[in-house]
Amino acid sequence: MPDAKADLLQGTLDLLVLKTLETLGPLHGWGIARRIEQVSEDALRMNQGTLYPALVRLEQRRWIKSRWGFSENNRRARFYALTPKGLRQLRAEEERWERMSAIIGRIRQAFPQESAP
Amino acid sequence: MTSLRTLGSRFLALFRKRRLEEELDAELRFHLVMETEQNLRRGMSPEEARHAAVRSFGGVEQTKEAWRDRRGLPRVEEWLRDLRFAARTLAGSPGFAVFAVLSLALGIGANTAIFTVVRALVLRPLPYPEPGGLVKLWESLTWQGRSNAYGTVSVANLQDWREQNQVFEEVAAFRPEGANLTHGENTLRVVATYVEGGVFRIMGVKPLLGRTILPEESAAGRDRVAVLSHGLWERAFGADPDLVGEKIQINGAAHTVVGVMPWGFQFPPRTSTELWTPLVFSARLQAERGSHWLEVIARLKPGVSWRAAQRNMDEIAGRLARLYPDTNATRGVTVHPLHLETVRETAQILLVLSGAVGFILLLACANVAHLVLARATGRHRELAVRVALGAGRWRVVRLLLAESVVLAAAGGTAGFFAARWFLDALLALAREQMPEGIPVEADAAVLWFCVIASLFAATLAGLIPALRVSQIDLGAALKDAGGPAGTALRRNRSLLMVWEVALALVLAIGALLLIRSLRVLNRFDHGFQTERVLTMKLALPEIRYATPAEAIAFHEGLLEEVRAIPGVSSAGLINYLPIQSWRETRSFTIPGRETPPPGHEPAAGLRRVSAGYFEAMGIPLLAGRYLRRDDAAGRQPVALISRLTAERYFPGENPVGRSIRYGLKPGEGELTTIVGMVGDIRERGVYRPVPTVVYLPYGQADWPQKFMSLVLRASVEPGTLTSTLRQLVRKRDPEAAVFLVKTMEQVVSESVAGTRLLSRLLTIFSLLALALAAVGVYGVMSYLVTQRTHEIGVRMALGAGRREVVRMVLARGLRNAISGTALGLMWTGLMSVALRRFVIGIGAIDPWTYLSAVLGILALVVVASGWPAWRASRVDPLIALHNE
Repeated sequence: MPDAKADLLQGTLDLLVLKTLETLGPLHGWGIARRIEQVSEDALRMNQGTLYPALVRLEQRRWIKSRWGFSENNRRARFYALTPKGLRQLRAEEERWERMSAIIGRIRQAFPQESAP
Repeated sequence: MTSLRTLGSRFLALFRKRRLEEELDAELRFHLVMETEQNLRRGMSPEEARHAAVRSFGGVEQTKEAWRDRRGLPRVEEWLRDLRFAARTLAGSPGFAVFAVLSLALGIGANTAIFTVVRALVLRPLPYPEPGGLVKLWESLTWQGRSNAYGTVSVANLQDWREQNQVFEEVAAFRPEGANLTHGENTLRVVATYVEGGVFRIMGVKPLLGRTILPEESAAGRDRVAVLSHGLWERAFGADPDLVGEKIQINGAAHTVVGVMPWGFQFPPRTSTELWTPLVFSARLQAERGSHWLEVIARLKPGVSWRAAQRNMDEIAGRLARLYPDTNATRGVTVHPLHLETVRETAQILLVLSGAVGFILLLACANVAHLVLARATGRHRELAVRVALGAGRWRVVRLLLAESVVLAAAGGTAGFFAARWFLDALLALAREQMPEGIPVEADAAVLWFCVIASLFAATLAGLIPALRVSQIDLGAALKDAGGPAGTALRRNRSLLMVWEVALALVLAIGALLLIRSLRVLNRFDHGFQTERVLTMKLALPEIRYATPAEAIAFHEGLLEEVRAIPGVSSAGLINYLPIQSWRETRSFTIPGRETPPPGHEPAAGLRRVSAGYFEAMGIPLLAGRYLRRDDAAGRQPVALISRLTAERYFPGENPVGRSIRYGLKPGEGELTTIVGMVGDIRERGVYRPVPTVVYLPYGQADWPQKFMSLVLRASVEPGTLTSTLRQLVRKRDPEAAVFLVKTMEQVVSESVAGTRLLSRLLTIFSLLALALAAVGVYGVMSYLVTQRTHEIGVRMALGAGRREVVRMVLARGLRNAISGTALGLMWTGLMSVALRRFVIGIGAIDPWTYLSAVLGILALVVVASGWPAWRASRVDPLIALHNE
C-alpha cells in the first residue's frame, strides 16, 4: 500500500530533523536541509522542499518550536528548536530504530543464504 | 490530545491564512537565497546557481501546496467549496430549490413552534429564585381499589409532616379559593388564595410595597389582612401608592392591605391569583386528620434531592399510618417537583402534538430526500466521472450532502420565521388551554432547537440518498451513458414512498379518531339535559352568614324570585355543578351490614341540592320522590341516591326506605332515609366513569352553604336572563358575587375543549401531511415513469394498449401504497396509546376510522399516480425507442 511507504519515509525524515536539531541547536530550514544532505552524503536523495511540510507537522505535534530571528549573514529567517517533548520523542525513536536494526541483524544471521543477494 | 491540539492549530490557521502565507513565502525565499549563495560560492554563474537551487528544492508550488495541506484544514476549505458549488447548482434549478426549502420550512417551522410551547410550559424554570428546590406535597391514597397520588392534605397530617421531616427548610399550606371583593357598587369575584405566611418565604419573592403575610397572622382575629397582586392593585385601585394600610372589603369584612406583590408574581404557580389572605385553622380543624383540603408547598434544604425527601416522607407516612390506622392506613405522601406539577395536564396534549409535527418533518425530509436522489441520479454520469478521476466515496457523499445542507440551512432559516407565524396561529386556537401569565416566546434554546432540527433534516434528507448513490458501479455508469439508473435506486425511491404513505396514514388516523370521537362527545348522553339551562355560581360573603338558617333564607328567597321570572320553568341549587366541579367521594355505612375492610367501604359523591334542582337539570326520577322544600332542618334527614349507587350497594333491593349513615365507623353520622332514586349522570365529564352519587337537601346541612350553583331551566333564550339575575342577587346582598354565568351547553363543551383543540390541530397537521405525501407520491411515480419510458415504449411497440400501461403504473403505485399502509397500521398502535385520553366513545381500534383512512390514502395515491400514469400512456413508442 502506498500509504505505508510514505509513512516510513516521513518517519525517517522526522527522525533526521529531530537529530539535527539536537546536535546543532536552533537552526533554520535551509540549515537543516544542508545538514541532512551532508550527513547522509547523498545516500538519501530528497527534494529540499519536502522538509517544510514536515516541519509544520513536527511543530503541530509540539516536538519542535519556531520563531523568527536573523541568520549568520543577517537575513530574517525562521529558526526551529527542539522542545523537551521532541527530545523525548527523539530518544524513543532512536531506541526503536536500534531495536529494529538489531532484530533485522539477528534475522540476517539466522538465514545467511537467503539474505545473500 | 496531540491530534486535538493539531486540529486547534489547524483551525486557527484558517483565520490567519494571509499572514501564514506571507511567512511561508519569506521562509522559502530565504531558503532559495541561501542555496543560491552557496552555489555561487561553489563557482556557478548567477543564473546557474539560481536554477540549481530551485532544482534541488524540487517544486516551490508543490511544496507550498503540501505545506498548506498540513497547515490549515483542507477539509473545511473543501466543505466550503462544496457548499458554494451546491448553492450555485441549486440556483440553477430554482423550482426544485424553492419546493424543497418550503417543505423543510414547513416541517422545521411546525416543530420549532411546538418546541417553543414545550419550552415555555415544561422546560423553562419557574420564575422564582432557585426553583429547583420547590416541591409540592400531596397525600396519596389507595381507596376503593383505585389510587390517587395527588390528594389534598389534612391539617393534622400537615403539622406532623412539618414537625417530623428532616429534609425541608420550610413547609407551608395554602388553599386556592375565590373571594368577594366589594368595590364601590360592585362585588367582584376574584381568584384568591388563603396562605400561611411561610409561602412567601418559600417562593423567595419580596413584595413591591409593604410586607407579606406574617406567620402569626394565621390566627383568628389577626387574619383580616390582605396582599394584592400587581394586576388587581392597578385594575381596582388605580395603582395607588398609598394603598398599604387602607381597608378594603373582602368577603363582607374589612381587611387591611399590608402589601402589593411585584408584577409577574404568581402563586400558586401558573394561576392568576390576585389576592392572598391568611389561612386560619380553627381548633376543630387542627384536630381533624380525616378531612383533606389543603395544598402544601415546601422548599428542600440545600443538597437534598426530592427523591431523598420522598424517602423521608415515606418513613413519616408509615409512622402516621401505624399511629392513626383509622384515618391514615391507606394514606401516603407524594413529593413532586413543582415544575412538573404545573404542567401535568398540558403535557399530554404537547406530547401528541410533538409527535405529529415530528411526523411532518420526517415527511418533508422524505420529500427532499427523493428530490435530492432524483437530482443525484441525473448527475450519475458526472459522479461516475468524478469517481473515475479518483474521488473517494466520501468525497461523492459530501458533494451530495452539501446540497441538502444548503437546503436545510435555507429551510431552517425560513422555518424559524415561519415558526413565529405558526405559534401565533397555535396560541390563537389554544387560548383557553394555555395556562395564564406564561410568556410563550422564542429564546436561545428555541434557536438551538431550530438549528439542530435543520441539521437533522439535512442529514436525513441528504445522507441516505448520498450513501446510496455513492455505491456507483463505475463501469456500468459510464457505459450507461446517462441511461436508466440501477434498480437499486428505483427500489430506494419506492421505499421512500412506502414511508411517506405510512407517516401520512398514522396522522390521518389520529385526526379521524379525534374527529369521530368529538362527534360522539357532542351527542353524548350526560344523564341531564343541557338545552336552555343557565347556570351561575353564587358566592355569599364568607364572613357573614354564620348560621345555616341565614344562608338558607338568602337562597330560598332568591329561588322564589327566580322562579317568578317569566320564562323560567324551574330553578334549583347544587353545591358542585356537574362537569364544572366535583369533590372526592365520601364513604358511608349502611346500618345492619357488616363493616367492610378498610378501603372497601361504600362510597359516593356527596352533593347538597335544593328542591327544584333535578327538575331544572332534567334528571329523571326512577323511584320514590324528588326533594321537597320541607326537607328542611329539624325534619327527618333524607337523601336521594343515583341509580348506580342503588345497583352497587343495594343490589336486587328497593333502596327507597332504606337508611345510610355518613361516617367512617358504624353508628357514626346521622341516620338518613333514602326517599328516592334518580338517573345517573356523567358528573365528572365524559372522560371519567359514571360515579356513585348521594344527594342531600342543602337545608339539612349543619353548616352554612355559602357557595352554590344556581341552575335554571327557561323557555326563553337563557342568555337574556343574566342581567335580571345579577340584579336580583345584588338587591338581596350587594356583597354576594355572581360569576361563571354559563349555559349548561357551554359547561359541557368546555369540558371537552382539550379534545376539540387536539382534533383541530391534528386535522391541520394531517392535511399538511397528506399534501406532502401526495406531492411525494407524485414525484416518485413520475420519476419511475420517466425511468421506464424505454420499457413502456417497447411494450407499446409489442402491442400493449394505453389501458394496460395506465394499469401497470397504477398497480406499481398501489403496491407501494399497500406496503406503506401495512407499515403505518403497525405504528398506529403507538398513537392510540398517546391518544387514549382524548378518544372517547369509540374504541381506539375503531374499524370504521381505520378503514376510511386506509381507503382515503389509497385513493390519494391513485390520484397522485394518475397524471404520471396518463403521461406514460401517451408515450410514443417511436420516440421512446429512439431515446437512447
